[in-house]
Amino acid sequence: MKKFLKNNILYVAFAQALVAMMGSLFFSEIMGLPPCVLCWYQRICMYPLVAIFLMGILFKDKNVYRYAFPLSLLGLGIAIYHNLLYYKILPESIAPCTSGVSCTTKFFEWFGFITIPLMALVAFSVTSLCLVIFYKLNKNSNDQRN
Amino acid sequence: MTKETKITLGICLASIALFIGFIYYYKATNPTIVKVVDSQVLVREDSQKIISKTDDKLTLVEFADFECEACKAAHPLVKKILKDYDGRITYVFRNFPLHGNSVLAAKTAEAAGEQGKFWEMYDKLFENQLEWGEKSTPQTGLFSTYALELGLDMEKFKTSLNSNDYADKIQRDQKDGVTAGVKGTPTFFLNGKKVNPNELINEIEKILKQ
Repeated sequence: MKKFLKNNILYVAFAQALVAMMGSLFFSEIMGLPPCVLCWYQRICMYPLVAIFLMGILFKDKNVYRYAFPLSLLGLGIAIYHNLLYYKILPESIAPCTSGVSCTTKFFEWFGFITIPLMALVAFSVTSLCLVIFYKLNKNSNDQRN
Repeated sequence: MTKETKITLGICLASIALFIGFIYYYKATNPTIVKVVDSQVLVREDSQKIISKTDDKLTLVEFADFECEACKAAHPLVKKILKDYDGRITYVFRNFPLHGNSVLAAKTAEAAGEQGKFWEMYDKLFENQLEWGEKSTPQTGLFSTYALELGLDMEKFKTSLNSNDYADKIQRDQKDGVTAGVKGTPTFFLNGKKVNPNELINEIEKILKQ
């Protein structure tokens, strides 16, 4: 199991980042839902992850977590904040949305609970978790090299 | 080709296939992209409107939110159109509230409308948006000040505001907006066709030349 995870966990992270990127493009470009400010910040974090994971896999770079972690954690932080606003746990007044689309605008809910901010939160949680697992499983080989 | 290249290529192709599949599914389940929206949906009998004095050649419907900054930015354009085409255009204002104080602002304007001061309140709300917009608490006090400044009968105004008379109307406006394909504010419909604010004047000129 450990070996399987060690060999494949980056593929899971790559697939997740790719699906998240395409999903966000689907919502904005096909469904015509304009992204809010916080959505843009999350896109800034998610899109580079696709390229970083891809290069990490192709060049078998064991240090890929070093480049990916900051983006993934930053994205996770913004996603948590966005969800707190969206579900009205935090008041909207402190949200940095001053023009265009409000960050709490409810465009749709699939099955009554799946929303765009929730999907973003899941995506960043998955990439972050994959990176933690990748780091733990490759820790020994990294330590030896350093 | 290495194993890594094959797997990543597989993931990419699967994602692209998924993406294309979703596009087809979306297009199949949302086939009607309405070009001209039914006027029954765009203009209700009790909608706030400035009626053309000459003919019904031009009808401009705006779905807007008093608290939306883009709507505030579009407000001078609407004023310019109303001035330049005075008497030749019917302008209809529909509510599409999206923010914390939007519904209250819409109710305030409607309550002012009951005393024949809808358009004065409409201007006041947009022009003073910076003062009351993006606030987490209801701006009832400030709206009452506006009403006072406009010389409204305050007893009547407060009764109208508290009676919740306009909640249904505002909700219906929003529902009509969704039916008409409104996804954000402001959204303009010129003779039933959705028009980008930047192209409004050109489109009006085109229709007038016909």
